[in-house]
Amino acid sequence: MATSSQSIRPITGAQVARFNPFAMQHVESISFRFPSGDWESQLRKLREQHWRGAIVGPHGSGKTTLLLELRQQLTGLQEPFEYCFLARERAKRSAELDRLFRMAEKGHLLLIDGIERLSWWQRRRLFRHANRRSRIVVTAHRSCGLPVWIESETNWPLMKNILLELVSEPNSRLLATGERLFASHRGNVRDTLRELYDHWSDGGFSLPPVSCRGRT
Amino acid sequence: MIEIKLPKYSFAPSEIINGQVEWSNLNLTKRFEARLMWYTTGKGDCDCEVVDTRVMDATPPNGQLKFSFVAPVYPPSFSGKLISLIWAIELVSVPEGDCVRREIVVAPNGSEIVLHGN
Repeated sequence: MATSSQSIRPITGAQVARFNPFAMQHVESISFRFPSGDWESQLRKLREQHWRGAIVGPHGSGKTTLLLELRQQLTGLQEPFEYCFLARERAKRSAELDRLFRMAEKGHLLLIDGIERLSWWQRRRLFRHANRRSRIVVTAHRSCGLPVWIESETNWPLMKNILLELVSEPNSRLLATGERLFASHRGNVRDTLRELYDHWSDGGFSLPPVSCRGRT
Repeated sequence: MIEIKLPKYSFAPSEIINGQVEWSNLNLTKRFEARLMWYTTGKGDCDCEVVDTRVMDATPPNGQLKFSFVAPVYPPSFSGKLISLIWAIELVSVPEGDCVRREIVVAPNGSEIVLHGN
């Protein structure tokens, strides 16, 4: 059996969490990239859809990021809204639904992350609650009965762009690893960044901590 | 412009942290809120806590004010591969909400504890 002095290795300054450019605080500061247009044109589209729309895309393609940014935009516009991240537990979900129905009745715009956690019947009830004028924006992996507002997609140029935002001077090793992980995670940006965090903390990229571009 | 000036950046638990706020060309600012806080960064979600606050009036557009905190005993500044706990002094101007932050170390001997792993 190895003694503790044999099994414990010192870590370098660059490996600690505070210098890891893939730490959650840096990842969360990355903005959603629209496939086309900007916030002004996308909000216009949402208005034209009477504030009913779905952000549709696969896992790790930025749906939650976009919904959170929409929340910020609505705060700036002083538009009353209710944001809800649907819990996995059925009991909690039921209480959340009752609250959402009440908010819909008051005319609040509902922002719902994870609409697929609701049953078909619950969804139907929510979308049609009060009347067809109720306003609702959701995230979903596929079409869910609301008009599509944004289809979130990922590709390697987008992923590379995100890496360049997080690490000012990525070396070829980091880019190659990023591209390989992005492919193995089938375009899931979130999972790719989580694995890059581990590679960085294991000292896999030999980059100094000053390369980290995150917020302070 | 707002600036936090500290004579040093490492403190032992219970040590007095003396600092100074300097500002210039602030016409709207009515007061400052200095916060002694810690936050975490790493692979998981961030966590934070404000442990002490000082409110200071800032009527003239240019000036300086002193503040002091007592360095807490717990939790100490530490860093590992998965998580770092970072102490900081944050200054917020009211009503603008502009914010500046200075990271400090609060730990025995004034040195961040580094966690070692396999």
